[in-house]
Amino acid sequence: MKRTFYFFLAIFILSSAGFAQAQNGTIRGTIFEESTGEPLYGVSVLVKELSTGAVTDFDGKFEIQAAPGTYTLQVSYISYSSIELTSVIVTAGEVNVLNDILMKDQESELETVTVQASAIRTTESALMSVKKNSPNVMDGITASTFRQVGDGDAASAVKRVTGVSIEGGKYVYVRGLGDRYTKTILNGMDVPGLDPDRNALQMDIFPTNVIDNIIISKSFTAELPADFTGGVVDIETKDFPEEKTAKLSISGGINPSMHFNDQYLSYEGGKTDWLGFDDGTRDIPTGGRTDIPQFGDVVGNPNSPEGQEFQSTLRGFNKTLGGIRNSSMMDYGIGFSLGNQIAKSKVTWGYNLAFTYKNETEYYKDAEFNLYAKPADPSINELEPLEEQKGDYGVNSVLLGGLAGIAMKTDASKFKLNFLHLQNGESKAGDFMFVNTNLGAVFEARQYNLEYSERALTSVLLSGTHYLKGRIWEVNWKLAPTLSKINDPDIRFTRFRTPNNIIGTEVGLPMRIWRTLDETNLVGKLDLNRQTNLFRRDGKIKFGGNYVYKERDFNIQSFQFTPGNVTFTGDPNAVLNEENLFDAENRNGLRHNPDFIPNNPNAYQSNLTNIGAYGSAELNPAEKLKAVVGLRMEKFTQYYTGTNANATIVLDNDKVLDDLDFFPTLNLIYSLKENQNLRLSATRTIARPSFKELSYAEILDPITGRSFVGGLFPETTNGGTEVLWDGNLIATRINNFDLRWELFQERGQMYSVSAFYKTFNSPIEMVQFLSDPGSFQPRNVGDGTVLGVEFEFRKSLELISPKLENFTWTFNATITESSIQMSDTELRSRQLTAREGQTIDNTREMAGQAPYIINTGVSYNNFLNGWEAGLFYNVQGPTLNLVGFGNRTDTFTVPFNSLNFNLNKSFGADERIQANFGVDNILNSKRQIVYRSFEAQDQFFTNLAPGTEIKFGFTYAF
Amino acid sequence: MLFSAVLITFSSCEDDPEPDDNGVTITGVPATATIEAGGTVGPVTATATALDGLRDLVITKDGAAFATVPLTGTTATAPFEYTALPEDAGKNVVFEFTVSDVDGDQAKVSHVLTVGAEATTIRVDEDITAELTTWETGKTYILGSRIVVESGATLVIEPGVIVKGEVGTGANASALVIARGAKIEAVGSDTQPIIFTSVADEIMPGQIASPNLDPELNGLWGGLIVLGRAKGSFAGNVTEIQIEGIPPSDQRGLYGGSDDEDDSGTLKYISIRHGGANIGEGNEINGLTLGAVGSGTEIEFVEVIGNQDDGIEWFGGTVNVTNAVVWNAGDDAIDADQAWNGTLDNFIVINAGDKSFELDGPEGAYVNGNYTLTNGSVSGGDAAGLVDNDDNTNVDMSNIYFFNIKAGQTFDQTPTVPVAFANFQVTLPDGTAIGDFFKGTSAAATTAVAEGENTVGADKAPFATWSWAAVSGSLDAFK
Repeated sequence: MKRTFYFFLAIFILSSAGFAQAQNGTIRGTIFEESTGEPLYGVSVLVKELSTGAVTDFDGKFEIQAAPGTYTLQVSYISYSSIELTSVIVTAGEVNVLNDILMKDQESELETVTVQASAIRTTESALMSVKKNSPNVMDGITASTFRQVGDGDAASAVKRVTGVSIEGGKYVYVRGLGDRYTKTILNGMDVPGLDPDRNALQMDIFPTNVIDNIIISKSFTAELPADFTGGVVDIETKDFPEEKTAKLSISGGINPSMHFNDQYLSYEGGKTDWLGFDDGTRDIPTGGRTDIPQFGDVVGNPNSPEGQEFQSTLRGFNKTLGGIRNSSMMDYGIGFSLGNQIAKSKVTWGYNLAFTYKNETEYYKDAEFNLYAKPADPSINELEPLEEQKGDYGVNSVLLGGLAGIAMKTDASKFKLNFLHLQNGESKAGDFMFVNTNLGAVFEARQYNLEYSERALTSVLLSGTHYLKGRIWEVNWKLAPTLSKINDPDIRFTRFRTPNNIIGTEVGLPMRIWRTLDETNLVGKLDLNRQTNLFRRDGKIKFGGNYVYKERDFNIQSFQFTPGNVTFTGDPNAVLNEENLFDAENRNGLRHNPDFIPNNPNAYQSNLTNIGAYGSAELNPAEKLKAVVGLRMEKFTQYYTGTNANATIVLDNDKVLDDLDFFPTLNLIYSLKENQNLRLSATRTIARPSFKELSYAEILDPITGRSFVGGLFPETTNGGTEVLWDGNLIATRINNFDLRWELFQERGQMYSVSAFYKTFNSPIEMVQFLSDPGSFQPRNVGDGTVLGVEFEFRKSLELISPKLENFTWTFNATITESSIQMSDTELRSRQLTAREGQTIDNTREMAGQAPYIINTGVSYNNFLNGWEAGLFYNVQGPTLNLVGFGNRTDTFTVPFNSLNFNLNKSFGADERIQANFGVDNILNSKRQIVYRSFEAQDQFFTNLAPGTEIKFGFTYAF
Repeated sequence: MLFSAVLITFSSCEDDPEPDDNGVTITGVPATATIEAGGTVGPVTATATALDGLRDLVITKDGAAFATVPLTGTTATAPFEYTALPEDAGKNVVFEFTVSDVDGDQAKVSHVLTVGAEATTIRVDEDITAELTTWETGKTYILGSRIVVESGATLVIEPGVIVKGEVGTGANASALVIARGAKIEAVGSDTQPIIFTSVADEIMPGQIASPNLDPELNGLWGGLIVLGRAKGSFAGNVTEIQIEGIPPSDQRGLYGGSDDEDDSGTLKYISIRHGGANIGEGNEINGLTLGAVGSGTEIEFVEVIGNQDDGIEWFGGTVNVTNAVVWNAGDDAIDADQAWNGTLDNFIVINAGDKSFELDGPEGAYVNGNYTLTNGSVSGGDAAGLVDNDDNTNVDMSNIYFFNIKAGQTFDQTPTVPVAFANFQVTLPDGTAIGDFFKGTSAAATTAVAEGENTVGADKAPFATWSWAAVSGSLDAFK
C-alpha cells in the first residue's frame, strides 16, 4: 500500500514538471495506413501557415508546438494521397489531438484529400480500421462509446458488441456460447476469475473509466490463447494519453422501486463496508482452526478446558441473523482521472491515473426462487411445486477501483508499467416466505439470509515493445502477475417453521459459512514480428510463446447449529441469545457443529502451467488475398490437492490433466473491393475443465441444497454393472469455421454478414446424478455442433434525409442453432419421466447457448453543439439454463427486453463540462428463469423485478 | 495366525578351530518386556558365541518347545520377534533361550514378556470387506467415520456389544452402513441389547441407561443405515437411488432393485441413541434408515432414542418391523416413503419433535398395495403433529391408541388413494372432541377412551428389561 502511494507521489511531481513548460499550444496525432491499419512511420506533417512540422515516429505519432491560432495541416508520404486537415485549432497550453488520420494508397497523381479536423474525432472509426484490417474476425467497443451509451462498467458496455450477451450482469457470452467457451483477458494476459464456480472473469468489476477499449476476437489466430471458442474478450486498460486530462465526475441513479424505499433490507455489517471490504466484524470465531473441540467431545464435560473453549467459540458467532428494514440510499459514484504526456528530447513520458468509487443499492420486492417438478403420474403435464420461496431482498454493492500507469517511449522502444486494483464488497439481506411440499414434507417457513462477498483483483503489467532494424523486427514482451481474492465471510441462513417457530432438520438447521478463494496468476509472453516481402508483397511473420502459471487455494468452512431443546420466538436475532446457548446448566442447549472436521472435501489447492508457442505468417499470395496461417502448441498440465468426503481418496499435488495439443489456424481475407472483405477461417481450439471440475471435491450449497461433485468420481447403475460416468474428464476439442463478408464506409459506417459452424468433441456439461438429482457433476457428454449467422450494420440516417446526418442506426443480430448428443444418463432419465404422448429425442440444444441475440439502437452525435444521445435495445432469446433431470425439468431464461436511453451534453469549446442523463430498463422488464416442460405452463425458477432506473452524471475537466 | 514367532536371518563367521574346550555365551535378550494385547515385541538381536563352534539355539515358551535353530561358526546373531496370541492377553509369557556348542556346553537366558489385558475398546476406521467380521460380546467398537459393510461381507454383532459413533457432522457424520449385498447379523438379547450410541456416551457393556447423557440429546453421530435390493417408487422412475445422508459420490449409498425377498440380515434387541447428524436440508441420517430392505430381513425389538431426524424411516422395500419404540425423535418418529410395502407391528411412539407419523406415498409410478401400521401406542408429548398423510399416501392403519396429545397434533387428512383406517382410540384433552384432532375419515375410525382404558394399542412387555425407555420408566404410562 505504501509503495503505491510513493508511486502516485512520483507521478504528481512529474506532472507538475510538465505543466511548467507550456506556453504555446500542442498538436498531437496518429497516422495509420488505411488498408492495413498499421501506424505509418516517417510521414511528414506540415503546418501550412507556419512552415513548421514534424515526422511521425514508429507508432505513427507526431507532435507540433505552435502559437495559438487556427491552422491547416498537410500530411504527406511517398506513394500515398496527401491529406489536408483544415480548421486545426491550437489554444495556449492545450493539446489538440488528431487521432486516426488514415492515409490511402495513392490512386491518382497529386490527389489530396481535404478533411475538417473535427470530423476525425471519434475513435470508433479507428476501431473500424483495426477491425477491417485484422487477420481474424473481431469486434469491439471503445471508451467513446461507453460515454455515449452511458454504461458504467465493462459488463454493461460489452453487451453492445455483436454477438455478445451478459449473463447475471457479470459474465460475457460470445455468440451465445456459455462462459466455458468465452475467455476474458486483461491487456492480453490471463487473469484469475472471481467466481469459484465459473471459468470466466466477472466483468462488472471493471469500471469504464479505467478501460480504453474491449476487443472481442471471434476467430482464432495462433498468437491468441487456444482455450476459447465463442470469443476472447480482451479488456485493454488506458494507455498512453494523448493530451492532458484531469477529470472529475460524479454520477447518480434513482430507481423508484429500489431507492428511498423504507422497506429496504440490509443488515448490520462492519465499519468499512462502505469501502468494499469487511473490517473483521464477520471473522470466523475459530480463526479458521480445524483442531477445535466439537459438541460430542464436550457434552459430557462442559466445564473442562475443551468445554470452555467450545462455549467461547459458540458465543463468538455474530448474533445478527436477520436484516433490518430501513430506507435505502440511491446509487452514487465518483470518478477521477488524470493523464498526460511529456515530450522530452529523446524520451516521451506518459502517465495515467484513474480512481473510481461506486455505491449501488438494489432492492427486489417479491422476488421468487422456486423448485417445480414433473408429477410422478406421466399422464399429468402440469408441473407441481416442491418448494416456493418468495420475499424481499436488498443488495448494497461497493466498487472501489484504481489504476496507475506510466509509459515511456524512445526512438525504438516503448515501456509500460501498469497497476490495477479493484475492490468490491456486496452485502445482501433477504427475508422470504418458504413453502415446502417436497419429499412429502408439507410445511411453511420464514427464511432469513444474510450474505457478504468481497472480491479483489490486483494486477501488475510490465510490457515493452522494441523495433529493430528500422521497422523490420518488432519485439513485444509482457509480464503480468495478478492476484485475486474472494471472501464470503459469514453467510448466514436461518429458517423457522411457521406458525410454531420450530427449527429442525426438516426445515433446515441454521448455517454459517465462510468461503475463501485465493488465486495467483503469473503470465509471461514474448511475441516477435518480422516484416517480409514474400510474393513481392508486404507480409509478416510472427512467432513467440507464453508461459502461464495459475495457483488456486479454495476453502469452505461451514457450521450447522443444532437447536437442542430450545424454543424460539421467531426473531432471528434472538436465536443466539445467551439463555439458548449450551453450557453446563443447559446441556441440550443450542450448539454449533463444524462440517469440515476431520475431513474437508470443500477445500482444495490446484495449480496449472500452460506453455504455449506459435508461429504464423501473414502473406499476400495474390493481389487481393491475404492469408494468415499459423500453428500453436500448448502444453498444459494441471495438479490437484484435496480429498473426497471420507478422505478415502487423497490427492497430493497429483497430475490430473496433461495435454499436448497443436492448434492449426487458417484465416483468408479476400478484398472484394477497396472497402469490402470476404473472410474465411478454419481453426481448432480447446475448452479445458476447470480446477474444481477436475477434482474429488464435494461442495454442498446449503442455500439451494444442491451439491457439486468433482468430475473424477464415477457413477454406475444396475448394481454397479453399468457405468454411467467413468470419472475420466477430458478437455473438449473444437473445430471452428467462419465466413464473413464486410463492407466499410466512411465515418464508421459498415455492414457485415457472418456465418459460423463449430463442432464440439466431448463437450463438458453439468450432469445430474441419476441416483440423486440434487447433485451435479461435470461430465463429457455426446458431441455437439453450433451453427450461427450474424448480421451487423452501422449506418448514418443521412440516406433518409441529409438533415439526419448526425443520426446513426446500429443493428446487430446473432442467430444460432445448437445441438448436443445427450449422455446416456440424461436420455434414460428423460425417457423414464416422459409425459404421455411426448417423444424424446437424443439431442437437444447446448446449455447456455442463446438461440438469438439482438442489439439495436439509434444514436445522435453532434460534435459541434456537444449533444450526444442514444436509444438502445438488447434482447437474448430463451436460453437453456439448467438441464433437467429425473422429475426436474429444463429451465430457460426468459428474454429480457432491455431498452435504455442516454443523453450527453458537452459545454464549452473544449468540453470542459459534460452532463449526462439516462434511463435504464424503460420497458420495466423482469429477470425471469422458468421451468419448462411438455405441454405444461411455465413456472418460475427465479423472478426478479429490477425496475426502471434514472441515471445522471456530471464530468468536469480541469 | 497360529504361529507368529519369527526367526529370520542368521549370519555366521568361520574362525580358526580352537583345540581347548571353551564356553558358550548368549547376549542381547532383554530380561523383561511389556506389550499390549495383540502387540509385538522386538525384533531384538540375540548374539551367541562359542569358540568351539556353535550347534543350535533352542527356544521354549512357558517350558514348551517353541523353536530350534541350528547354528554354525563361532559367532552368530539372531533377530527375535513375537506377536502376542489372543490367549497371551493378561499374562506373563516366559521364553528361555538355550544355546549349545558342538561339545555340549550350554548357556541359557530368560525373557519374561508381560502381555496386557485384551482391549475392550476397538476403533474401526476401515470399511468392512471381509466375508465374516465379528464384533464380540463385552467390547465397545468406535466407528471412526462412515463405515460401510460392503457387498459380499457379513458383520456379526454379538449380544451386549456397544457401538459408538465418532463425533462429526455433515459428510463427516459417523455411521454404520450395510450396503446392498452385505449383511448384518446383530442379534442381542433381552438382557444384552446391542447399543448404538455416540463416543460422548460413557455407557459400558452391561449397562442399559446412559450414565451421562439425557435421552433428549441428539445429533451426536449419524445412525444405522441398512440398504437393500427390493423395489421402491423413486422420483424419475429410476430403479435405484442414493440414500439421503450419504453423498452421491459414494456409490455404496445406492439402494433399490428388483428383489423383494432380499435379505440384509437380522436386527434384534438393538437400541440406537443420540444420532441423526445432519448433512443438509432433506438430507439427514435417521436413527434406523431402511432403504429398499427386502422381506428376507428380520427386524424385531428395536429402540431409537433422541435422534435428530426421524426415528425409523422406510424408503421403499418390503421389510417388516416388529416391536419398536421411538422416543424423543427430533423430527418424525415413524416415517415411510417411496411405496414401502411391509408391516410395522407393536410399536410405541413417545414425544416426537415434528410428527409422530410422517406417511408419504410413492414418488415414481411404481406402487404395490399399502403398507400397514398396526398395534401401536402413541404419546404425543410436544410433537408438532400427529399423522401427516398426503393425497397419495398408501397406508393402512389399525389398532392404534393416541394419548397425551395437545392442540395442533392432528391426524391431518385422508389420502385420495384407497386406504383403511380402523380401531383408533384416543384420550382427549379436556374440552376437546375427536373432530378437533382427527380429520377426514380417521374420525369415524376413532373412539374416545379414558387414559389407560384403551383396548387397542401396543403391548409393552416385549420392551421390558432391555430398552432404555422401559428401564427409565418412560413406558410406565403404556399398557
